[in-house]
Amino acid sequence: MNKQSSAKFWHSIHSWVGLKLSLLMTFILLTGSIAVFSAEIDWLFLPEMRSFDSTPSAQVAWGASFDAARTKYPEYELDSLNRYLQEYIALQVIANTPWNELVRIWVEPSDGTISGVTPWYNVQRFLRSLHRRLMMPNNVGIPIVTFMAFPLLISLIAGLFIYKKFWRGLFKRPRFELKARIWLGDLHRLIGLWGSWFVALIIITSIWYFAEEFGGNAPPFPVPVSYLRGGSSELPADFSGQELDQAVELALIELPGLEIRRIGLGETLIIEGDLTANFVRPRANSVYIDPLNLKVLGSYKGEELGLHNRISEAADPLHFGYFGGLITKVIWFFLGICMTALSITGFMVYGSRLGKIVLSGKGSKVNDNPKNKEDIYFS
Amino acid sequence: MGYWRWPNIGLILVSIYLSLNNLGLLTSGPYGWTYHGERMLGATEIEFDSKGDIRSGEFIDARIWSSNAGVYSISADSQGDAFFTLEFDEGEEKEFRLLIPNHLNSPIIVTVSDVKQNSISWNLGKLYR
Repeated sequence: MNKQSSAKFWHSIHSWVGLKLSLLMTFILLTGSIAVFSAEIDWLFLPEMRSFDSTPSAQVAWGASFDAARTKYPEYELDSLNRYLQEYIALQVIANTPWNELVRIWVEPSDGTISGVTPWYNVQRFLRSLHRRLMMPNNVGIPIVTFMAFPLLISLIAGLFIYKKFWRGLFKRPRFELKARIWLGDLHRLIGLWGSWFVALIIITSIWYFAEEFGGNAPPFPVPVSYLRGGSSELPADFSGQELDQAVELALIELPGLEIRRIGLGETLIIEGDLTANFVRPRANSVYIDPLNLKVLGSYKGEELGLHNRISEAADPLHFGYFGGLITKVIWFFLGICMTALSITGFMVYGSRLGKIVLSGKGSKVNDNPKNKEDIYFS
Repeated sequence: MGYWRWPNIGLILVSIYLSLNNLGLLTSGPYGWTYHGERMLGATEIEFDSKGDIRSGEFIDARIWSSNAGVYSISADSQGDAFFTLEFDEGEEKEFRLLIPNHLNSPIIVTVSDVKQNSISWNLGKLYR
């Protein structure tokens, strides 16, 4: 296969794979991009979510928040207390109502003042379900969505093969003065070049999610034996906020420096948070405490997890882009929109190229005045 | 795109349909019945269930099962002022619409009374909206 026919081969692969699934791909990419800011969208819509005093992690009033929720809604079954990474979002207490509705009780983290209650279902849940599984049941939707990583991978590889000496194009301005077909192609290449690392990242994490769906999920965390044996079925009825504060102190002694992000309320208190390991979810650093006697049952840190767990833990922060706060979220959103634009511009280039062929009645030679071989394949 | 457009469009349309469904715009929601427990009204067992979210000032779907025949007054008012009556045969279950009082400050109490003034109640908890 000579160079020209090789480029033609990769180009036909790139355009076939890119085109055939372009609508669905665009839909998934767009919903994923918007989902990066789903918590912020909820924050805009729901005044109850807003916190204005930027309470540092160490000063969160866990006990007072627990007491406030339990006093105001004694019939609700409290599930967990959750601290978002963003300090402008209030502390969230997830609870189940007597009529079996999951709700979010929002509490001012500095003093435990309840700012309101909202339904579990929100913009974040909506976008997550739409992007992750197209609203379908998990076992149907997740394989469909994550399978899209494979055509995306083929498209990325083919794109790099057909663009010889692609580094030369990194600073090549799209020729906006020429017809749309040309500058759309230029723009498609430019975005593709700069965003290729991000596309690769999304492909890798999505293939991981695909593998997880088919049995590749990581083994369970090393939870304490006494936890596994089980105790009472739920949190003791007389458990108080003061005891919760004591449990938090014990957790901080067990894992010094733990920035608590979630406290699971049940037969065992599970206190999770951020510590020293990078690219792990809060659950990777956990302390288990018996609520009956406030005894630490066990704990583990991100560094103690096996490689399989670490890969599993890294997938979400890398795919969602929240690991660096608002800054990485802005970057992830922008790159997500760029990926969406890749799909759209690729479709438009192909469409205009096809239109040109149909109108001119010509074969495969489509560029008006090609200066080099690239122009033939990219126009 | 040729024939490939159909799986593309099909999957997107299905997800949009399911989204509208999920938001409750096409159906009343994906909720089943919530069992609130069984109580003894004299010698009669009464079971009460509700369906869906409970919102102040709105009707909910509810049902009662009675182990014996009888006529019962039912109310969802903490004071028991607004009530209606239903007649049951032995082992009969009846579905009805129940108006929830328009307040958020105190729990909603569903009360069932018989002609002998025996009464039982279910605390549905404080509503949040």
